[in-house]
Amino acid sequence: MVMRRYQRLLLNIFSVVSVVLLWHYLSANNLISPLFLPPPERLVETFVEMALSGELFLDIGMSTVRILIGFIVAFLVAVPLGLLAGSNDIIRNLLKPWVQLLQPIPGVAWVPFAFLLFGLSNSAAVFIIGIAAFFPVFINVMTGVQTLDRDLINVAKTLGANKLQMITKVILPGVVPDLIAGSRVGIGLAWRAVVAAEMIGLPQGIGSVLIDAENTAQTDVMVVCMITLSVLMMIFEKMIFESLEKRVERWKGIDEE
Amino acid sequence: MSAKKPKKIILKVDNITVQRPFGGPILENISFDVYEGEFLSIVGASGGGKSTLLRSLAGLFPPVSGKIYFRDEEMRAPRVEVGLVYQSYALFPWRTALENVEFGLELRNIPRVKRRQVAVEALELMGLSEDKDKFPIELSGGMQQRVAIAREIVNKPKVLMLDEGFSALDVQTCRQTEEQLLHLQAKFKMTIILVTHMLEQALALSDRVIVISDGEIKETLELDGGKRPRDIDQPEFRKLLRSTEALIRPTPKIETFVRDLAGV
Repeated sequence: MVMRRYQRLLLNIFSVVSVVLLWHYLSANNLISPLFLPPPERLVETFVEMALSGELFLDIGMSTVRILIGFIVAFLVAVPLGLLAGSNDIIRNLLKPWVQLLQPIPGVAWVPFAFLLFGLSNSAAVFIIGIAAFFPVFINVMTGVQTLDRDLINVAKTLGANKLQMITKVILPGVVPDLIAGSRVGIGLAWRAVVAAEMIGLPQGIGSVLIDAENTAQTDVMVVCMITLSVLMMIFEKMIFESLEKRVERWKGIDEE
Repeated sequence: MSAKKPKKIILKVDNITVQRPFGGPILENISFDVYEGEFLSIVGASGGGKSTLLRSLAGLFPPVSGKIYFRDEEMRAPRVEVGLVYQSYALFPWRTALENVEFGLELRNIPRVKRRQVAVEALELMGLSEDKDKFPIELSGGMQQRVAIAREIVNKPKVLMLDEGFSALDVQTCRQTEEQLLHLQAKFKMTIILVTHMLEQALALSDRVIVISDGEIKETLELDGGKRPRDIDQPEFRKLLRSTEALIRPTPKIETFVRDLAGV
């Protein structure tokens, strides 16, 4: 069944509203303990309180800044290395064993090591985020270069492209879809890693609020933080990737939903 | 009575052998000249080394021995004067038709306004002014090919090479593109080298046809002048077609094997 855009939107809204209503009904009739799940209206109150006190934004801001810096560092290292490894057999095979060894280690597993190396500091956060985001970006860029149509490179050569032009006008634009896919996964992993690091010991940040709320049995604060985190990740994705993806979808001939 | 002007050589292929990086030769001891302003076709069965020869002429696949000269200069790398239109057209999928055509001019830092104007004119010439803002995926095979040709002609190549440029086109589009190609050749005084497995097309369009089989030149056919494309229904044309067809058939592998064994 082909659905129109507004029909899909109506279904989305219906789904959310009906779950919230059910949740409200269960809470209002004491069928579910507020200790496990506070009523939705309580969450709205908590959100407003935390927002007005500035506490929420301060922690969100801290996590976001850590993510941004860590991701930019990872991106700046992963993209050139991915380009090099994708286009040069020797470099690829020199890096291969390290990638295979280090890539499966989850970002969270780097937390103790980072704390040992940098202490409970923002440098530790940048290190953890950098490691988590590096591999998906690097691997995607490398694969993108390897699978790029050789004829496109040859056309550029016959039209007179020098090495720099080859990278900036052929290879980089050619790997944009892979770069977007890698960055998407990278940012997702970076968020998971930074929240875990903040929960384990980093001062401030949304993860530290979450763990404080758990210690003081403030379920409403916990849920508000989780929902805020999810919304934040969605905004991040939309801001960074949506416009880029729109153009890629058009040249790849992917129909918009 | 004035003497006939000697034909100027634009590309000279001097005894080249082209080899796979880890394998035997694809082309062996090939020599021929390409003259300024001529329409040369290279025909042969699939896998006979035609496309490899074209890539060598474009400077992309250097021979292991022998030399290729553009005018009097040895070709060691690709050069803008020798353009190549790929079988797959190789349009940059992330660029619109117009941006694809602009590509070569952009590489040479031609100012944006100037290069846009040149690219628009080239697309108009190819009958694609309405489609200039479309991405390659939004264009038909014939349109993609015309964009690929426009991308080359804005660089004013002296030699334009086409690798199986017509194989993916329907008969009608094929005929239109052939006419367009002849028109472009006359307008820009270009040398055209067409690699094709469509012998009929090669004989209808060319001044000369080189037949390649099993990595060697089997025959070079000099065709008379006159109006092109030639009338393919003429009895003389059909006769020529039949006799040339026999040259293209690759040597059966078993025969080659027995010959090798016998040392013949």
